[in-house]
Amino acid sequence: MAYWFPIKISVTFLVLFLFSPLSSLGQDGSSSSVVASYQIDVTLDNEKKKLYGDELITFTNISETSLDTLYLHLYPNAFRDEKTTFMRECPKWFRRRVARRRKWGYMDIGNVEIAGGVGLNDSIIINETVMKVVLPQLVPPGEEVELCVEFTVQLPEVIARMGYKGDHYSIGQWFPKMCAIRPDGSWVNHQYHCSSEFFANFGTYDVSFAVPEEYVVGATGYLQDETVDDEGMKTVRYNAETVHDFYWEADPDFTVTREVFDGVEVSFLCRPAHKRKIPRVMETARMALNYLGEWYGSYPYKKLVITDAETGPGGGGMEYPMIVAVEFSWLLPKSIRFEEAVLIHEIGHQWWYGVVASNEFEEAWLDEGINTYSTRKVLETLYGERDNFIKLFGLTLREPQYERGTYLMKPKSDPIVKDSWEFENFLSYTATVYSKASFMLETLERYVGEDVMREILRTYYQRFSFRHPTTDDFIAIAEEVSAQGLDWFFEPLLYGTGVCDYAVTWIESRETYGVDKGSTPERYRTKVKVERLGAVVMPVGVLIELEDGESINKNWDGMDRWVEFEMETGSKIKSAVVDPESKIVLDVDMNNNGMTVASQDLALFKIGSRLLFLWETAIQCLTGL
Amino acid sequence: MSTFKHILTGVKIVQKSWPLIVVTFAFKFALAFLFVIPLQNLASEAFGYRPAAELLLKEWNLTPLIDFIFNNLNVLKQYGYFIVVGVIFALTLHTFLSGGFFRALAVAQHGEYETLSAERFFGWCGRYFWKFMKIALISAIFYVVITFLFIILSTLGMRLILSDFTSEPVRIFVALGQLITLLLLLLFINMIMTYVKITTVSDEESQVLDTLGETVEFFSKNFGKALALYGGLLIGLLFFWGIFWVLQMGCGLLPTTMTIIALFILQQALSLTRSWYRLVGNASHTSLYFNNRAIR
Repeated sequence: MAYWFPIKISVTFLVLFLFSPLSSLGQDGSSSSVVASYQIDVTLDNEKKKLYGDELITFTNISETSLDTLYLHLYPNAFRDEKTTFMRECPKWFRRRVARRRKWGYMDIGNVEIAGGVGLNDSIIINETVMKVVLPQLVPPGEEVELCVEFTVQLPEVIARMGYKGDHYSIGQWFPKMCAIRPDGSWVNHQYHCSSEFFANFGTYDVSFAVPEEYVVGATGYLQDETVDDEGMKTVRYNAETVHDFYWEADPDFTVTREVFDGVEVSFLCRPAHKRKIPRVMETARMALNYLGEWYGSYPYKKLVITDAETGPGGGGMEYPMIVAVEFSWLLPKSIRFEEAVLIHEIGHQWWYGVVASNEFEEAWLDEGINTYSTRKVLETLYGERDNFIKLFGLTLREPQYERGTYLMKPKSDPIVKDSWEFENFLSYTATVYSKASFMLETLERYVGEDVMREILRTYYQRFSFRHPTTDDFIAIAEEVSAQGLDWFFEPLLYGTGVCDYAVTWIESRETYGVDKGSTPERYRTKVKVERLGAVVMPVGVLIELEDGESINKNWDGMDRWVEFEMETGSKIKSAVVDPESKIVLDVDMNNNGMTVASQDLALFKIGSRLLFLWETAIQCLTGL
Repeated sequence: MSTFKHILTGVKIVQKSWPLIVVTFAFKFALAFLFVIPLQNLASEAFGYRPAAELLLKEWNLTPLIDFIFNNLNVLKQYGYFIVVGVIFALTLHTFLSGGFFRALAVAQHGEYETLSAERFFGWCGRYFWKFMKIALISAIFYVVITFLFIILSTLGMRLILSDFTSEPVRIFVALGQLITLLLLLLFINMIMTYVKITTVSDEESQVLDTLGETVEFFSKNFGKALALYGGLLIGLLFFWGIFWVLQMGCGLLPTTMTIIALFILQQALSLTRSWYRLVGNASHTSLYFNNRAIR
């Protein structure tokens, strides 16, 4: 089931929806995409690093109950000082780094009124990043209310992808934004936490912003018009329909590269130092759009902007509807594909966040986990499986190995489905929501097959485009498409903290002699013991190889803690491997999955020899001083 | 005497003092094994009868290594502590032996012995141990203080001079320049402290602080020569390392057993060469010192 189905559809919404180019993407006609729409006028003060804005919010009550209160996010207040919820929850290094700069940011709210003149200034309560507005009268289901809000934002020096750095502006989560509402009338009105991202209903955004004339800007939506006044301020107006956020970025030194791929205009706003990256960025974007579109469903907009951003501490890359921000580095060579991976990941978010808009506060895996899995698929298709992440001086690293390092740091601290801020720490959040969740999907793929997995995601995308699915929706689709019950798979992984670890712990072959008890054994009694060391149960295969080349396959449902396979064989056992096809990517120790009769010490000595060489070189460098 | 002649003298002196090479080599060999064997045992425990080792070996597939590290984190932490303690022990032992080395090389400058006896060598080690310990401590303090001062001053300086720069390449080049300058500064301290050691063993009566003064005096008159010799030796060292590095890369092309044997021989050859070269370096500096010091 979908997250909610609106009971009544307002006339305004209906008009907007019917005339929207995206209206055809509504799957069953009952998904009310447009809930909160905005008309915003904002001016950038380049000297004071401030935004002065006013907005008209048109909010439709899509819940089943009448509302007497509205909630709005004031995200910039997360950067007011060290004591905010966001800052308190962030790692110490992050806090120190931000605090040292003393360039905080915040949002001040001016006049708030119902359109038409009913003042609400005495009816607002601001608690850090959430503002409560008590309405003078109830808003019945299906009705709409228009709210006018004046606001000022002091931009911080860029923190978590928001703010300024020199003359560069990365403007995300910058306006008073309606909290998302559930069908029962409850609000998703969480504070801005360090380990959480965002969630909002879809709406139409009509945004005008004035910046100094020399600035080049990129933004969500389509450019409607651009004017320059006598004071040298350029005003640009963008319009975006059926999106749930609006981001813009401005820099006087941006150069713009545009190309059209399959009807989508891709623009790269690049800073001078990174010009040599333009071909790589455009090619990566083209391939990402191509593969993601082919596998899961087409990109629904006509435009995608990639910005060469200053993302600041906690940055890297960020996704917003129709625009992605990636921090590029002058230093990184072609052979390290970190930037490509980030770019593909952020473009992937256009599918898993932008269009399929799950709740990032409460079920972050639905966008981050699925998207990390999708990113991996694109990387593997583009660059191969062997060295798709790093290929430098003979050293190769695959993207799953990078993710595995993160996953193994915190494999059992938290379940995958959990409120983002309730995770043990930021590391656990990352390891679980990104890495573990993506490996869970990879494991599922190996159980149901690649084609079925792709069909699951394709169906999920198409059915929940411009809607807000939940974990239950995803499971239902996975079961429907794969035509099998998957509770056994999802339940322990999504809601439990157990790990998956299978190991071969014993192998042996003993001679058995015939009646005459000659000197040559006739048969061998072969035993293989496999143990389940973790709590998560999965059916596994066991491959037993004998010295004469014969292979024996066994299956185990994995329910008990251990199983012993005993059999008569014609020759001695050579090796045994549990999960020989490496289906269970989630296995926390793959080294113990196999066992051989012959010692592997030769291989170890070779590795050890190299290690010794490196060590001696290091010691000699040290004693050289 | 030219730089090259000092190096030649160093080579001749080391030829006469060959037991020193044996001591240095044995020291390095023992340390390397002390540090690597626990790790080898741990890996043997994890991979001994596990086919995963093959993946690592044949394909350089890092997954087994990642699993090994994260499933043995606690043991590896303990190993890390062991390394720290081991390095302190090694440095102490190195300091103890240094007195013997430098004194033996200084004595050999005057041709005072035909062969070096263990009794005399360890006697010198004992005699100069405390002085060399003080020198090691002073060196450590210098390294730390210079590093901190350099970082603070260079950062402040850069902020004042280049307050407005935001260009990423410029920032990277500045950081790289800072790093190289710091390394050169540390090498410079290392060079000075080498001469402090030589001064210490050549003047038994003086205290460490006095020898510091004498070294400064020596440097004021022979800075160019000392720098040329130090630089020449450093280039030679990089050359040796380069050759060995290329050779060890080539070992990867051999079959497993041959690789193990070839790598082992290569390591010991490197260690031996490095021991010899290090002694040649110290003997060359000693030669430079005795040929240019002020006669009192």
